[in-house]
Amino acid sequence: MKVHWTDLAVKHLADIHEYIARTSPTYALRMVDRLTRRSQHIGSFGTRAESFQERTIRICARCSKDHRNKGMVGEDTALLVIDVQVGIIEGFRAHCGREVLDQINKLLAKARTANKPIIYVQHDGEAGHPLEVGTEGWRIHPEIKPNEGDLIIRKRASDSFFETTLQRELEARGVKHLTVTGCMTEYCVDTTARRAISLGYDVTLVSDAHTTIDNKLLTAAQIIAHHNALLDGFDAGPHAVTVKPADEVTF
Amino acid sequence: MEPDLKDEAKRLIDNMPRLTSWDELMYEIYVRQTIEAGLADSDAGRTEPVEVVRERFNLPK
Repeated sequence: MKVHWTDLAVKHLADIHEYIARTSPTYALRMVDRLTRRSQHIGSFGTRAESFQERTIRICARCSKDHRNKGMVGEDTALLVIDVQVGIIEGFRAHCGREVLDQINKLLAKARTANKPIIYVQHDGEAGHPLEVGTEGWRIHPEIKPNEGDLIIRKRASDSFFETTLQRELEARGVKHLTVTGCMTEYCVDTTARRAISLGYDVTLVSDAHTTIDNKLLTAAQIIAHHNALLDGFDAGPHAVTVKPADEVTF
Repeated sequence: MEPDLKDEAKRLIDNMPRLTSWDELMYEIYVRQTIEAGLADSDAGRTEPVEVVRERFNLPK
């Protein structure tokens, strides 16, 4: 499939470049590179793009976000709830734990209504670990507990794909897109999102549905904000992370 | 005769979940206007391949 830019979109792109170049020509070019590369990815969406019944997708640089929100999340989407366990939310007193549980519950309701796969990931800690298997801390938080039929994947590393059946389960369900939530932002959420991209999935990271705790250098709020900014647009080949709040996520 | 856009404008406002500022309305109108202008460009063949767009900025295809 060939991707064409309209004259108006090219003009907007030139305007964006000119505006940013006033302060930084390097970043101006980087932005143009990023926007045009993202548009090239549309050409490799294959079956999803075919639903538009057009050989040419018409895009506008200034409106790309609006098109993306409406079009990219589809029937091959699953909700991933990573490590939302008692030991992290209550034991570590994760940042804004209450609010994050509320956002995840909203997403669970949307996914259940749309009959989309919901996959919980549960970290197995060793003896003495706050998430030691079988202890209270290891339990998935009761306020977002799985229903009958929801899948639970148990893992022992930050990467939810590492030595687990996650990829096989996603393939069995035809999942191509993951909506990622959970704990902890800079470990399991970040690592799983990045690995998913490398494995050929598209990812929506829900900006207000993942959390962590303060470390020696940064507050939890800073870590979350940093990852939301850093991962938005993170890509490999045609696959990329999109960051958006729970209220904007559709299934 | 120019088309009457009143109905379209009303529909645009009706489709907005909430309207809390005039800026929001102006943004929606701008988006709509831009999309229609882009579609008109496309229908008239005023487009170019993304590779050509990248070349304009000396970016590799």
